[in-house]
Order: sequence, then structure tokens, then C-alpha cells
Amino acid sequence: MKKIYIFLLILLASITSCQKASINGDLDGMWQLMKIEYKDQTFKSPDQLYYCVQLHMVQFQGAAMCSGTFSHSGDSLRVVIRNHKAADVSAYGMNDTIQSFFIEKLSSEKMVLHSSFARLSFRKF
Amino acid sequence: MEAEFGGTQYSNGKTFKMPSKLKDYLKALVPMSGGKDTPVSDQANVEGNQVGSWHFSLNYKLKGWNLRAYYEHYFEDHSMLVMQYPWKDGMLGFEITPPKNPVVSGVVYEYIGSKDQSGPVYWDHDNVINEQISARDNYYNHGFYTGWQHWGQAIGNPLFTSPIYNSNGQIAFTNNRIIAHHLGISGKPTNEIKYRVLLSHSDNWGTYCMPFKDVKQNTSALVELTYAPAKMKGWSFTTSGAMDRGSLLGDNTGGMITIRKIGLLTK
Repeated sequence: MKKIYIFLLILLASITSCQKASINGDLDGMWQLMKIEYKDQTFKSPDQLYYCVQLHMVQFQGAAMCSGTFSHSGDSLRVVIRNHKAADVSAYGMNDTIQSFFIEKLSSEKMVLHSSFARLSFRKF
Repeated sequence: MEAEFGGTQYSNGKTFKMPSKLKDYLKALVPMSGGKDTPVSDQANVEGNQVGSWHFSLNYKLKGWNLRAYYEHYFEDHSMLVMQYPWKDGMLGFEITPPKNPVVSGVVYEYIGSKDQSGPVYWDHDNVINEQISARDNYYNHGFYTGWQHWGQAIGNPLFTSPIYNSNGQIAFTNNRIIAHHLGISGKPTNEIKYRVLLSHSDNWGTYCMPFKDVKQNTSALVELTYAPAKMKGWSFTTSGAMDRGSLLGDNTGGMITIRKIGLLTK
């Protein structure tokens, strides 16, 4: 029986010592952009646009493929898309390659981000 | 671990022959990077399509009962072989074999999750973003080979939608991000009659590269009854009915009658 406990401890230690473990909690994963609500009261329901979040990176998928980094602290999120123009990220509900968001809601299933440009609703996919 | 190696790729009118010398056979057994006669990706990683899985199993016997719990972790690359990324995917199973009785001779429950695949981002570090993320494992697909399939049918995991179901002729897995549950019950009410009931339900997200617009569901069921008369040694007669319901494979219903003879027909 001791051997089993030792094995389980080693397994647990190995799993918890992942070099690339999740560091962003619920924010990690593939998010499907469901709705973009603009400041002028208009809105869009995008067709298969995604934010992919892992470690320190975010990748946009569905229109122009964009990659960048982000910083997350409390209920604020700052996204920095590299090597792209503002026009490339407009489909994703951003009006600049650097955008600050207020995290209105974040759970394992839903996320709502708010910027000075738009309100973005996501579901985990 | 298993490997696909050697062979010839036919793509867009061009052919590429993979090496199949003795050293290539050895590299199928002990994964190593490919030589100059292999694709660039094989030179940077390992030669051929290498996959594998970890298996853990725990058995417990108690007064005629046999209880077994098992966990299987599938991997497609080095990073998931050695737990560089969290093991969020895997198959967890429980098997119960009760003492001999006329109602149930075995029950199995399995859960499988393959949604994570190391994560949703793939990035080779460069001067702009100095981060290496080797995720999006894209289970059962491969850049050079036609994936972990044989004649269009998935090898090992029937819940990843097999390429044979692709209506556009593409030889690739279009659905490898799933969460599924499976329940199986078997019994032998008499010495001549036995039955099997299987039920599977899956939620399906497609792949990271080509996600479905909405999650697709599928429920499959099979009921099977076998009669093996004691007077007709070696003969058995099986009838079974099966169905699929849901948005992944559509609604399908089928039946099968099997007449089986074990041994020589003349005896």
C-alpha cells in the first residue's frame, strides 16, 4: 500500500510541477466572441471569431490571424497585438492594437469585456 | 508508443518518399529527429508520426467482486509525454465485475476529455514575442501523414469523427475536441443467453483550427442479444439494434443479425 501512496505522490508532484502550467485561471482557453456592442448602440453578432488565451499570449482567430500579449490584474485586462494595424483587429471588437478592457464578468463559461470602444460578450469554446 | 513512418506522400501531383532504412525502423522505436532526407518539421522534432499514451490501473478484489479504476493519458508530442503542460485531457474509467449472477456480469463507465490539447495557442518564439507555446496538439492529425487512421477510420478512439465521414473527401480529423461519457452493461441471464447494452454521449467542438460554430452533440446506443443453444455446440445467433441521435452524425438507426459457428462446420 505504501508503494501506491508513493506513486500517487510522485504523480501529483509531477502534475503540479508543470513548467507551462495554467497561470490565468478562468481567463485561459478559447473564447468565442458572440456579440459586439458599440458605444453608438449598434451591435454585431460575429461569425466564428475567437480569442485564444494561454500563458502570456493572446491569439485572434477567424478574421486576420493576430498574435499578441496581455496583462491581467484584478478586473482589468490590457491586450497588445503585435505586427498588425488597427484595421486588422477591428473585426474582433477593438479599435486599436493596444486596448484596455474592464472585465465585467469572468467565469469558466462566460466572459464580458468592456472597453472605451465596445462591450464584448464571449462564451468558452 | 506507436509510430507511422516510411511510406510515400502524394500531394498536389508531387511525391515525397520517406526513408525506410534500418535506422528509420530504430527511430520508430526510439523517437529521434529525422535526417536530411525527411521533411523539415521531422528534422526539428522527431521522424514520423509518433503518438503514445500513459496507462494507470488500480484493481481491488472484494468478496467475489472485482473493481478496477483506470486512467489513460494520450499524447502526441514530447511536451505532453513529460507533463510540461498540465494533463487536462484523458480517459477515466471504472469497471465493476460482480460475483456470478443472472442479471449483470459487468459494468463499465468511461469519461474522456480531449478539449484542451495542451492549450489553444501555438507560437514559436521570435524577436517580437519571446514566448514558446507548443500547444494545439491537434490529436490524430499530422502535417505529413494522413493522421492516426486506417482506410478513413480512426484507430483506437471511435469518438473522434473518422475522416471517412467527411463529405468533401478530406483525409483529416475534423472533430478531435470532445467530452464524452460511455456506459456499458453486460449480463448472462442463462447459460444460453447473454446481452450487452452500450450507451455513449459526446459533446463535440471540432478542432482548434476549424472549430464548429456551435457545440454538436451525439448519443449512440446499442442493444445486443446472443442465443447460444446448448444443443448446437459452437453455434450462436446474435441480434442487435443500434442508433445515433444528434447534430454530429445525424439520426441513424441500424440492425444486425449474426450467425456464428466456432470450430469446423462439419462437426
